[in-house]
Amino acid sequence: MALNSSPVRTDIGFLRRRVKPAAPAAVARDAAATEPEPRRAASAGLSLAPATTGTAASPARPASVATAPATVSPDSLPFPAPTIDEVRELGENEPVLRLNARESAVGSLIVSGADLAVWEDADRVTGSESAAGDTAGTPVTTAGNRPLVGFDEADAIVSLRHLQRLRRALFIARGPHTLGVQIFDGSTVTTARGDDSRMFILCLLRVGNLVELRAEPVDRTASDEAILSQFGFTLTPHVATRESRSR
Amino acid sequence: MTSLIPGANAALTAENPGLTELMIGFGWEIIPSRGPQSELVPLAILCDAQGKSLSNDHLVFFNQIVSQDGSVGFRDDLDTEEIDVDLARVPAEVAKIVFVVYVDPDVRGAGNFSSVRSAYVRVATRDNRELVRFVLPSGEYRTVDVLMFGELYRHRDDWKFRALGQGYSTGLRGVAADFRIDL
Repeated sequence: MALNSSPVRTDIGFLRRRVKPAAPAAVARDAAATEPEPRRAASAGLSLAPATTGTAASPARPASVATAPATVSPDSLPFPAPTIDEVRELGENEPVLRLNARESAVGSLIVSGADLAVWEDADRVTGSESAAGDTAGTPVTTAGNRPLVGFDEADAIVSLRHLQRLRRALFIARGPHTLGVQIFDGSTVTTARGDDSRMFILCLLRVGNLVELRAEPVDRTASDEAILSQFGFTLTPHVATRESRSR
Repeated sequence: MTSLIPGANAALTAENPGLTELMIGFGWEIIPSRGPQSELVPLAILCDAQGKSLSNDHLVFFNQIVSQDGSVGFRDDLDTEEIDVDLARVPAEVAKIVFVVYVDPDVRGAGNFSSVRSAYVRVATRDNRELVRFVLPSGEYRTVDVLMFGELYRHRDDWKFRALGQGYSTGLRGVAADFRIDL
């Protein structure tokens, strides 16, 4: 199996996207939810930044420490993983693949065949939606008025434009079909079907700015609740809020 | 400050001796909607003399390449997105840097520029002294989902900025084909 061992580019430091200052509360949240990110060069290398849109920025220049992307030690560099072009089926033999920064950020990641999608955002807000439309936990909606993770007709969709808001997701298929994944460039991968006792579910993890897809074996007879518990998901109670009525 | 029209260019370094660092600011307004809205993403493409991207990695957008030092912050709230360019460090093989803004191709109704108003790109010094501004003509991009706002390009030993305002109706795939990028 070929490994993606291409080095991080360090020669494009002359051009960079600015990072908007986060609100103090958001900074605190981000600090609490720090995740490993790919290695950055010592002076002017590549790094990752949260997707920021909108114009609610402070006019003052932000304090560098508070607004800078967190520095990452070389030890936190993800281990090499195959690309989506190198894997046809995620399963026993090839359990993981990793998308590159472009594949991880453009358009939608489409998961076909899923009966349940579960998400956890960067603030640990969790929820789930079934293909039948049943929901539990707390929905997460993006600035584009789309669910961060949700179903569109029969497919589960992940909004990659807002990847930085996502921490992880699970997709479970109960029927005879397997799970399929498609990204913007048309590349696809499926999960193995498993056997009579085990089935594979799809686990999506955000590692810094990269999407990692894993096929995880679970007991075929396990309930959705048991699988969620096994993976440490506790659905966040959803509190509906509405504007107060003016009298 | 100079306002540009599509196709017009401005001499940056020739008229501003000693200018080595630029800030490219982008702004726009989206007509509010209760449903899915267009989400715009600036993208800088570093091109060779043939106008093709030097590689797949020679792109700057929200998920690829930000200086790691974090010392550069957002100085004001005028722009929706900003990209810094250090001209002195641009490699010789980079002939121009094209600034594109695309509508994220979400399968749940991506939209296009028909809902976008007051789009502009401006070039300023690092201390936010505006040099040139290009306000894109409104109402001309209803079926467009990618717009080239402008480009920085070498002219002999100097750098110029050209306002473009050219759109794609073929989305990022059209951009990828023209600039030889894998997207």
